[in-house]
Amino acid sequence: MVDTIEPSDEDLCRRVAERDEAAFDLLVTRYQERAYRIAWSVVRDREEAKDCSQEAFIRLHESAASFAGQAKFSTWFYRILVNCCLDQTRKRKGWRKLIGWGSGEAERETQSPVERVPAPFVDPTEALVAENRMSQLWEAVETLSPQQRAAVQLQCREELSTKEIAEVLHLSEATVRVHLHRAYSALRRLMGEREAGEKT
Amino acid sequence: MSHPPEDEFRDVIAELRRSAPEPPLVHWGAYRAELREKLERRKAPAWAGWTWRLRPVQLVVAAGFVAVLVYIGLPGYGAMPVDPVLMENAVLASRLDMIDQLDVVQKLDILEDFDVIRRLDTLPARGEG
Repeated sequence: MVDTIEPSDEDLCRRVAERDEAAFDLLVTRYQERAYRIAWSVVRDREEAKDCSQEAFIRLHESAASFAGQAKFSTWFYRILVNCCLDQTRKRKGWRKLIGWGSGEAERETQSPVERVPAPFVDPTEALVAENRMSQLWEAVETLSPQQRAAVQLQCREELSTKEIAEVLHLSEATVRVHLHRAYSALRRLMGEREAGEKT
Repeated sequence: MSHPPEDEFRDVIAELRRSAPEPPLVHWGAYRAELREKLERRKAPAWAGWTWRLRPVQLVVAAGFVAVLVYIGLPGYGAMPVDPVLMENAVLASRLDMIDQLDVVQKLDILEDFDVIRRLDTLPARGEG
């Protein structure tokens, strides 16, 4: 039996810098789902999320040599990714202003039903409650700024520490704490209201 | 705000994790193929973009060349006769009003033959001083 040691992300990135296409493919395979999920959590559009995550991989391919190796590869890559997403949301905002579109409500309505339908549950009553809870909580997350939304997503889904989130978002750790604290406080309030409503 | 948010809001984070919406499904093979295509396009040599950008210049040059050809090919251009008599005819043809004064023009031709007229510049002016 031959022991195969999986190369680390950092090793792969160094190989990408040396134009090793196989290493790049491996990194893409490792990160594609996470990259797409994070991008989607920020831009909330399937095609844009695909574009942003692919753009992040292209930037990774172009600038792999600039990865110093001091931070974790994931932190470095997420920073590229979040920058792509924030650029995209800024561009979209600019276009909306120019065209005179309204709030995100209209966009949510135009999203494909697949994007809005949650994962199926066994019990329909439970499903209804869960759907309601999910939509309420995540709708509240939707109202946050893209940067705050990214912070919540990076902590809740990707399990990044506050320090790592600060590195990804180019913010101080204290600022990230403030952002997260405000966001979670608002969400807790919402959860409390919902529970009170369910009891009555 | 003494505790880090991840400790202080464990319940909220747990609820968010539990109820997080999943993004729409993506076909990862197609995703990677698309990414590869975008990457190849980005890696294309710089001059490939230049040729595209030079197209308007090429168009202008071509249009100029065609304009020159059309100008040369216009009726009259290059058909100018070398023979002076034929040239005179051509000039007359272009200025038809001269035909009305043709007898005067012909007399001018005859006057040129007189010695006096030929030496007009060298003759002393009469009644000068």
